[in-house]
Amino acid sequence: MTWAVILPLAGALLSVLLARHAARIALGTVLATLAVDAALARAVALGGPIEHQVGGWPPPLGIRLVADGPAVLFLLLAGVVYLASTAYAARFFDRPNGARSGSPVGPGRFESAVGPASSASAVGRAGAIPHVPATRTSPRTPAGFWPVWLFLLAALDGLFLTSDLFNMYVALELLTLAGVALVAMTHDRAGTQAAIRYLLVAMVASLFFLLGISLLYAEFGVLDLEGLGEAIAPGRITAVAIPLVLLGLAVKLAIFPFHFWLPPAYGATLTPVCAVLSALAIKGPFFVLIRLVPGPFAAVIPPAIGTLIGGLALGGIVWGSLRALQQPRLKLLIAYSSVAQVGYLFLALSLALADPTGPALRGGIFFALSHGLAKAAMFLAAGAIIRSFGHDRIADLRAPQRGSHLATTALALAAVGLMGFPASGGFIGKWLIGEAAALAGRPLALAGIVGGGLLAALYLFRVLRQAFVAPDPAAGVVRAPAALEWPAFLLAVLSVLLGVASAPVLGLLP
Amino acid sequence: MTPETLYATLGALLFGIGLYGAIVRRLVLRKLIAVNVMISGVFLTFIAPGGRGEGPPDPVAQAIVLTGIVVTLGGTALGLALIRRAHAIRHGPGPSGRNPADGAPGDRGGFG
Repeated sequence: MTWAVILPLAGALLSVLLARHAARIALGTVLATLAVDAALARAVALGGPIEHQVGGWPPPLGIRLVADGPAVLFLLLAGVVYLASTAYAARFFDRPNGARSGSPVGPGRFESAVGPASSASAVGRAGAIPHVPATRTSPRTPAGFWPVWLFLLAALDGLFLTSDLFNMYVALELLTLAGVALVAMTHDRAGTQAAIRYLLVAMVASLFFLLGISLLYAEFGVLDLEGLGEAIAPGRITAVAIPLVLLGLAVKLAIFPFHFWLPPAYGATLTPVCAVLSALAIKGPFFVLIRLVPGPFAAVIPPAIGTLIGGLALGGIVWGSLRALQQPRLKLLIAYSSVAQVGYLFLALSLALADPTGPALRGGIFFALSHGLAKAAMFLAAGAIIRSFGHDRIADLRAPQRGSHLATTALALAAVGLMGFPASGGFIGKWLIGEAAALAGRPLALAGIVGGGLLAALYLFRVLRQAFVAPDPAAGVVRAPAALEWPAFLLAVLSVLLGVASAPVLGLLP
Repeated sequence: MTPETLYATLGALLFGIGLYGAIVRRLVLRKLIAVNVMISGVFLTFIAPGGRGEGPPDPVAQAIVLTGIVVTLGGTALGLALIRRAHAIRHGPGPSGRNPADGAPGDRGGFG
């Protein structure tokens, strides 16, 4: 079980030593990790949860690792998304596509240019001579990209397996540091500023989480989740500690109104980084929440907090969708869509608090898995389309299939999953959450789920309709490399298949 | 007031001072320092109950704070590196390739 953490760590170190082969090392490491995840998932599916005490030390001094159903599902999600994104990133960097203008400025030229600065460039406008803009060429691999890339996977895997509160804090911090470093890999102004903001917000959020943990530890003297569940009791300290923990996680999860750091960070950074951050990094704090809230905290959370969480969730669904509707740029639209989707996760938590035995938690986890696949597919497909058009202004992405049939199809399939069309993974997640809302008698939550799906259809059709308009003959469109299309397409297919073949997945959930 | 409550109160106070600074200060460097003040507050609340009773102090709390210091060091170093880079992007590197120590607040100079 520890191999799921050790392999990416070892791969990261190896890719520092053998920097020339870093991309191949990363791909091999991710493949091996996915194999470990799959073996673990099989063992858990057949024999139930598996426990491991690191170094043979029992709690309270040692740290317990637990692989149960949700843990192995999230491990598999991380492995699959990482495999696709790593294959994508290996092609994303460093190879010319058409004319390669040497990039003296450094690695950041590529999609960092898809920021406000490039809006003035008249790429593809009628009359202008279509030149090959900077966004068409592959950027150089940023220094240190592959080690940090693998560190992020190690942090995720560690987080999914740990059963110790402080260990969760450490894994969350590693996740943040790796994520911030990856956002900063654009080496430009927007990326650096977004990374600084991301870092400061995430550090403050971590401290709220840690202060809450320190209070719980001072009161009950345990950090292991199982031990805490037995020891925890209502009281003044608990009443202060639990909101602190939840607040810290909510900020890290970018729930409305704490989402302000997320869109700039995703909008400014490189496409493969967007994919893993949106699909996986925000699932880290969510995973901690599903460990804590229906677990040790269930008995002591006041109902008012559940209602508050539900209110914020609805606010996030509405606000994120409305903002996504207004975005002129594809990457920002997808980023705001994440703000809306996080709302569903919180809605599931709020309903799980109201009725711990209901289907809400299963629905939330299933939705998180399907969202991870669909959102990663969407970012990767967007990256391929951006590569072929040289910009990401939605209004000018006319007939994106000219650049890439597969990526456009992937975008549509992933959109199906995000909207929650029947038979897709998103549908089953939303159905379970909706069922919980109906059982708990929460018409507002039910309306939010349905309305959010409609809003998602509205903002996603803004992009998809572009496939049916006449192409702009003056727009110089380059075919996207196949190695950028296929990972997006396969992930999108998986996100739909998750709905068709949901039985084994649901079988692993509580 | 027992030493335990004293330390816990001090920890909460430091956390509050740091949080205030992290929100109110405009220079990111000061925000980063404020976050470090918050962290000291958290560590104090972790350590404070560790010394209660007559026995040896709680080793788990100490191990946690040591780990926390390492994590914080990493985060602060990353923050400083990013702030330096943001500064270099805005003002260009200094003559020796180093940045001037301080940037004027509100300076909106262009690249290089």
